[in-house]
Amino acid sequence: MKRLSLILTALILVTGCTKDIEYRGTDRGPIMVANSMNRAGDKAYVRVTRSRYFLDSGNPDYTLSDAAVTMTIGGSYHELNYGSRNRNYTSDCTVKPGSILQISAAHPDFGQVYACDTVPKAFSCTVDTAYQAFSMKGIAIDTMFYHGLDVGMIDSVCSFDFCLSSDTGRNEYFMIEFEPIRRFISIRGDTLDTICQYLSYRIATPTLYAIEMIDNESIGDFSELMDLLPVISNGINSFTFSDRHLSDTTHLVFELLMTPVDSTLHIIKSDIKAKYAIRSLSWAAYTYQMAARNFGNHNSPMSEPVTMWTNIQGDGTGVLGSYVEISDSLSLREF
Amino acid sequence: MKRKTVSLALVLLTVNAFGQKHTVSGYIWDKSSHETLIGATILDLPSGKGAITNEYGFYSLTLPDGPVELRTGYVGYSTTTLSFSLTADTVIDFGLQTIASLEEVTITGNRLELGVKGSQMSAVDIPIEQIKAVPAMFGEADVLKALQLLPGVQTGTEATAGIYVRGGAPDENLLLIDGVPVYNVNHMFGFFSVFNPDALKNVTLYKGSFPAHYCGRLSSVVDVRMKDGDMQNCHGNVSVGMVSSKFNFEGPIIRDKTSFNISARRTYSDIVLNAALKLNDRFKFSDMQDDMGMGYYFYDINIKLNHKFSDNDRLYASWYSGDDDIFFDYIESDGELRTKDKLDWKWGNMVGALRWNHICSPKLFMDASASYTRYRHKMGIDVIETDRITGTDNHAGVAMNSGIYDITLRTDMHWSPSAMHDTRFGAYYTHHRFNPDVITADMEGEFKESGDTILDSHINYGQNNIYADEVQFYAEDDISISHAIKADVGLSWSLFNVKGHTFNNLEPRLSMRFLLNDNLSMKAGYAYMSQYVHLLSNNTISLPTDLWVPSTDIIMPEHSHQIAAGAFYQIEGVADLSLEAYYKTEENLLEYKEGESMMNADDKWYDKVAIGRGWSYGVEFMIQRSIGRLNGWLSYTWSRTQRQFDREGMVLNAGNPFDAKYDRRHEFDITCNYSFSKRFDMSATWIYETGNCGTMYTQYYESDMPDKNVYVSEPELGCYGDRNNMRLNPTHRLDLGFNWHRQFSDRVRRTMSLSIYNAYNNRNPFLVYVYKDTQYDSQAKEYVETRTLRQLTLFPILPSLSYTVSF
Repeated sequence: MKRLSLILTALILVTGCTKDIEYRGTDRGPIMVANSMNRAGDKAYVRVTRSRYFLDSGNPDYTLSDAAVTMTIGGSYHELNYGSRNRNYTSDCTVKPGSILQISAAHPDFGQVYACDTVPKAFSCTVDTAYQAFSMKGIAIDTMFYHGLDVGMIDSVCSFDFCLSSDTGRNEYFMIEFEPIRRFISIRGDTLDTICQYLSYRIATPTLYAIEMIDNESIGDFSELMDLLPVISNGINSFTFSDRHLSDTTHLVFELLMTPVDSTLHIIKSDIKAKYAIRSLSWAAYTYQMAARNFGNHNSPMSEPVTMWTNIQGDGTGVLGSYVEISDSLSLREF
Repeated sequence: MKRKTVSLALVLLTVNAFGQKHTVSGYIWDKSSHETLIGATILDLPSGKGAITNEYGFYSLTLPDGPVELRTGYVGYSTTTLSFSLTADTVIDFGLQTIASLEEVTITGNRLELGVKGSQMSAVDIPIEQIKAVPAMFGEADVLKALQLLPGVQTGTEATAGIYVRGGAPDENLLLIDGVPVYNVNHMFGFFSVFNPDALKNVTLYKGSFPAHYCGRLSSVVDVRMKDGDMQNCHGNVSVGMVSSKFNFEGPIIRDKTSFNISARRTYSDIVLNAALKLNDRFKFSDMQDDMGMGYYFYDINIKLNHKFSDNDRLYASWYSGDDDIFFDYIESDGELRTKDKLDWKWGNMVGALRWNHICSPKLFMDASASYTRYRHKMGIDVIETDRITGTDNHAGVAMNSGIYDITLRTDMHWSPSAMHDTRFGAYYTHHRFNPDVITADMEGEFKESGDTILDSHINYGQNNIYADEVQFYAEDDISISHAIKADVGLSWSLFNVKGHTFNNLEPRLSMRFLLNDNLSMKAGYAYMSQYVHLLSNNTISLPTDLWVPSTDIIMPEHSHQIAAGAFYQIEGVADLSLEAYYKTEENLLEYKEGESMMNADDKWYDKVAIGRGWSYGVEFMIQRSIGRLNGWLSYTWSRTQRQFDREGMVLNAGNPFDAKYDRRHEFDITCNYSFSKRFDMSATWIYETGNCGTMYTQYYESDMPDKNVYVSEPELGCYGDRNNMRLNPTHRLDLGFNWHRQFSDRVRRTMSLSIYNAYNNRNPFLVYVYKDTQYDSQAKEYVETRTLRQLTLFPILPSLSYTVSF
């Protein structure tokens, strides 16, 4: 009996719970990947690569430099030339707001892909800035934006109040991007006021956490609020959202918090500028970004897979997207 | 044949002195406990006409006046024969005795109306004793895992209790406990089901040809009935296992009048873990830590009360409550401040029913009930900061809640106007409250540690409750057209109203039997089903966060048509054989659109799902032996299940059909129990099933954009080919169970049980993933990433012990 129990114990210990297996399913084989995200005012470009087998190792360059890539920009046909330096196919023509983009890429081994996108129209956005100083002990009671949020010791806040002009006749998608400094964002506006009193985000880079607050027990569209969760990439914070709850009078208020530590004072003295950009995204650019986030959130063996959205037609994938950008910077020294 | 005496009084009631036919009615029950027997038969031998007891043990048989010879039957029980001259309506209650010669293991068997002579097909009844005998993981006998061994029922992920019946999804199963739906049948993320076998009397699974009184789900009905409680004697059992302990106690409150049955079980991993945390300082997070607790447990409580007001009136009250709880508490003190962090993640069901049985006349039986069922999920995170000098508390907390709540009023009438007809009709009304997702934040006080000043606030966001109303009317008749032909014909009409939209469906049902000889019959059936509630899930296992949502004006109710045909053969006293083939189509099935997921279900959830259709077909074979020292069953299923989503704007897999996730082509199960003696018996189960499908992206690409201004959060994106493009390895496993019994006295018996799950330690797939490893390539002088496909096996060989004392 003792021997039997020893054998059983050994069996359990020796048994690894994982093992490497061979893939025996179907594989569609490598396909062409065309990525093109064009900013109005810049020259159009396309990067053409190919996909790799999911168990392939190493880091080879999969750029396809011998593809035939053409682009129609606002009805004007262009052949794009490959540049080995930036590995892109680039056009001489600039992208204009409201124009229609069409790309076609053909390769002898991977067939042909094509896609279409409409560049968003130009939009307007006013930005008001403000500054408020606090005592060194903490936040004044009347700074309602911060209630319930652990903001640490701050002595001043500079805020950026964006008033977006949204065309109610069509869906619009926006991205606001800031430098990675501790900051708040809150949204106030006519439409949102009826849905919620205020919404605040706190972002502490490099790690992110967010707290949403909505007053009055009012009920909003939670997915829309989730869209506002920032996307952190390369240390830069960006907020992507649709205009489903925005109106002409909607304000998006971002606030940069100055901490009383010496390093922050040094930044202010050094005339560091807070750079920001507001982008109006095409539907394809917005959808692709949201789909990528969903893909990442559910890329787990415990979840049903989320297929990556693409607007590339033919035997390929990727995205053709575009955006119009307004950008500026604010010197913190001005405060 | 050994003649048994009728156990209870024979009461003669004269109703109609001038009629040529009269009715014999009453209850059939277990003689020793007075527990009513569901599906027992009563047959008049001279005329060959018979009846079957309903869910409450009641029968009604109308016969011509004159001499009758009634014989009752229930597998595992001795038959009782009674002869008399019928001159008036007569009430007779029969008490049947278990067969004395089978003292070692007496298995009460398949209900006769589901076998050769009944009109019902695609239904299986598993005796509770057989479910308890099936070897189980951690020694925890499980109803749903026993059902997984039946033909046409497929398993989800390995070792989980989810059932996929004839290609249907888990939310297409109507799981009833005493006639009330249970919305989440899983404990421990699906590794155990909520049904505690100790509390149960009977489990019946319907896979098709559904009787008209069942509606609301497309693929199956699992009708679980709790024990009423022994009317004669108190008895029970206590069991201690490696994962949980449980007890069952039943008996009379007033003999022959009122009885109770109570069962409870609880796991105790949390108790063990917390004891370890308290005894060992190494688990301390910091020197300021005062206390810490964490763990997981689940519990179940089943209670049933049964009161007999008169021969014609009975009242049943049944209640089930069960929760799973994951918790974490951490308390630390720093000077004058004491801070408590608390996480409490809880989910579970509560089901309650009050039921009144009334015999309106010998031919008419009424079952009226009011019931409540709810499933709710709640996760709470709280921080409480206490100033130990002033005693003031500051509190900040966030809670996430979701759930579904139903209140139902129902009346079912069972009318037997003649021996040819066994009629049911009735109606029910259900008020649904869906609570898809609400998040609440509460804050009050001033947090000194962080320096924050907080005003009192109470904030809610998420979605408001959604209310819906559901009504069903039905009628069905089990008609004996001739000796050879019997048909169960039914029609159900259901209405569902939500947010001003009303749906209604007329659902015909038919099941026919052609008796070729006393031991062989052919059956065919058809059922049209509708389903108004949907479960949103994006996971391969059951998670408590999965949400029930109603049909809307965009997401229409799901529908299914199913036809089935089969042959049934009985080898008298040996075994029952069945061979069935089915074809089922389903409409308005839901899947997520490409690129979408359900991070949170808001009022736009319907924008994120695609609507499609599915079809399934297969052949099922089963041999079942329900009595004797050797009993069990053998089953084989060949089946195929496919889905297609090709509607505009809702295309999946390029609009092409694809195999459903749990399309397992072959499934072979053997379950057997053997009693060597009164002191020792053993059981074994061996299963083989084709691996389920999965979708693996076989190509990937870097998402990096040349334009760095629009970021894609994932550095690597996958290209999926065909949906469900790979199959996991087949699953096969041998489970063994050994029971040693010892009789201490006339009343006390102890049983030591050893279960061995996966006895030959096969590495069955739980999931498959891509494993990435980075190693330094000294020749290339760079780090190189390698990728392999890896299979995770969750449960290798798993022995477990339990000890039960019955008294």
